[in-house]
Amino acid sequence: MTFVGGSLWAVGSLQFSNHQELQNSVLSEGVLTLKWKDGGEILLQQDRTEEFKYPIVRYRGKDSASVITGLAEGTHYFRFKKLDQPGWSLPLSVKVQFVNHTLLYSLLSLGGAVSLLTVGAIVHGARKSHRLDAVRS
Amino acid sequence: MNDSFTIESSTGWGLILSLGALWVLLGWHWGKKATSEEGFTLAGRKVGLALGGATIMATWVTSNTTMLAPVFALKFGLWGMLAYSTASFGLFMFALFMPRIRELLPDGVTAGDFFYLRFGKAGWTLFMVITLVYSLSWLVSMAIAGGDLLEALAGIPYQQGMSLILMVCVLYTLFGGMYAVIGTDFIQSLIILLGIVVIGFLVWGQVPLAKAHAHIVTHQPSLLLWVMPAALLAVFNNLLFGFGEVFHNNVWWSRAFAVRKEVGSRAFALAGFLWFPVPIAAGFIALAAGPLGINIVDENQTGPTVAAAVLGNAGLGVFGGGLILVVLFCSMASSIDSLLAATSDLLMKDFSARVLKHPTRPENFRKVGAGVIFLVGGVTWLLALPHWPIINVLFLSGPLVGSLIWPVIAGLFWEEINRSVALAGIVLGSLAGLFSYFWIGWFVAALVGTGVSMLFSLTARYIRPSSFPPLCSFKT
Repeated sequence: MTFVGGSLWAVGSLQFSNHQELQNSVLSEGVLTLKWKDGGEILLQQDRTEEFKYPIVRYRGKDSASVITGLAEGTHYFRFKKLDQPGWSLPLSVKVQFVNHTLLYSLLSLGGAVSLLTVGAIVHGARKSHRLDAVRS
Repeated sequence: MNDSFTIESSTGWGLILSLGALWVLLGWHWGKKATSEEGFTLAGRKVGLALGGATIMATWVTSNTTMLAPVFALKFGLWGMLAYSTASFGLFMFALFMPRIRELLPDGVTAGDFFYLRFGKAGWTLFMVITLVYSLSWLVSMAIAGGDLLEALAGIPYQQGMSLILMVCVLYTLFGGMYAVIGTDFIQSLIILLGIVVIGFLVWGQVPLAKAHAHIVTHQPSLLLWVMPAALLAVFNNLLFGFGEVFHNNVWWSRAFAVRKEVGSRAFALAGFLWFPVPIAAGFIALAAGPLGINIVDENQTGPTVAAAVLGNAGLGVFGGGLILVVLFCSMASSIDSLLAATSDLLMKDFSARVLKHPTRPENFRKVGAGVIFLVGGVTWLLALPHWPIINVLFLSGPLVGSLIWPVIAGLFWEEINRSVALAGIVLGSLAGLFSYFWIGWFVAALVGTGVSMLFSLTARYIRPSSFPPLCSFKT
């Protein structure tokens, strides 16, 4: 169990082992790995509200980490509890923000242009080489 | 990973030692055909369509394919699966290179021959630096993946498992040269395909499509997005990374010289078709993780974790663990042996002739070849021992290999070029790609490297170009 110092209220609170690292972080791919200390079965929840009004269960079991992928853009909250103990961990909040669309479409245009030109140059070169071979033979 | 599906370490040792003994015996047997240097390094230039296609496909199914493709699908969904599969396009494009390569270099042995012929000593030096960084990081990352795999599946300590896998590959490559590599690759490719098909069908049977879709919509909605930026950009980046890897590396050039001239193009195209569905199947396995309620603890172990759980659910238990171990071992061995052989050839032929100015004497090919393979294996072992994150170096090499794409196209198909400008493009493309890797993200690095090098190559075609040297001036 991880103790958080600072106030009487917080003493004894659970938190993710990588809470400090992830709290309020901005994820560009919608992927994160949540970790907690070993020890018994846990229940991991996710919600879009800080109060966990509509939680969904992400994991229930004895593992000590969970890779979360495919998160939609926006803020997400996570918390867990040990099933043999009362109380939830401190909620962890992360924000998912993809690459902005201007940069995305610029890079996609660049990707499309470079890829098409590359394939085009190869196909053109191979056909020309083939034609020359045919003429020579 | 779920401990109930892993295998006993004695079973792991037994499986690897049995398969290893088989590969070494076959390598020794096939190696008896290698009575000349050309036989040892290029299997006598007589490899046919089936063996050629299989060795190319098996070489491209690396531990990265079987281990990283599921990670791509888990993180980027359908676009991720497609992005990984675009690496097969490199093989299709190389199929178009084949007639020209054999025309330009009828007696060629290594990719270094091409770069030396077309871009002189400076171009060859740039190529050697890039290819050695790339090849060694690929080789070491696979040795590390092998050690990790044996530790995760069978509880064999990392250093022992890594050493065991590397030793087996060094031994059979050393005994049999290219004959052993191609022969074992053929068997390994069949095992890999069979294993992936079996696991894929079991997953298909356990996850109804509607249930999988409903789960992903609720829990992983971004995986189904049409516009998921990192995933979309990964499609172009992986395509160009794959082009760069295949176009420049001696693994592919040595196969281009080893297969019979008349079947070369078809062998590469066949390998591309066989390879294309592999990352999709491996990725599909990963997408089943959520719907099947499988918790992924370590993203790098996604494939083995889901496969072990699915085989366990099917009642295959220990047999399932063994199957995963064998398939993944084959995928690693088929790439490690090819890289050992191709990198050793590069050092034996290019380095000795062009740097040491002391070409290998034909009568000493066995002794020197074995020594160099042993040396490359030893360096790989030393670099893999500390378990550094070498895979990051491999990812960083994307812009480096990407910047070689256009110089290869120019060298093959163009009549003239301004070499200095083209070589400047390789250097600046590599630097710009590395910068974008850290500034924007990994998913644009190869794209930027290729783009910058492309601009320089196109400029080099029209600004003060000079003809490439005549072919008769080339001596291998």
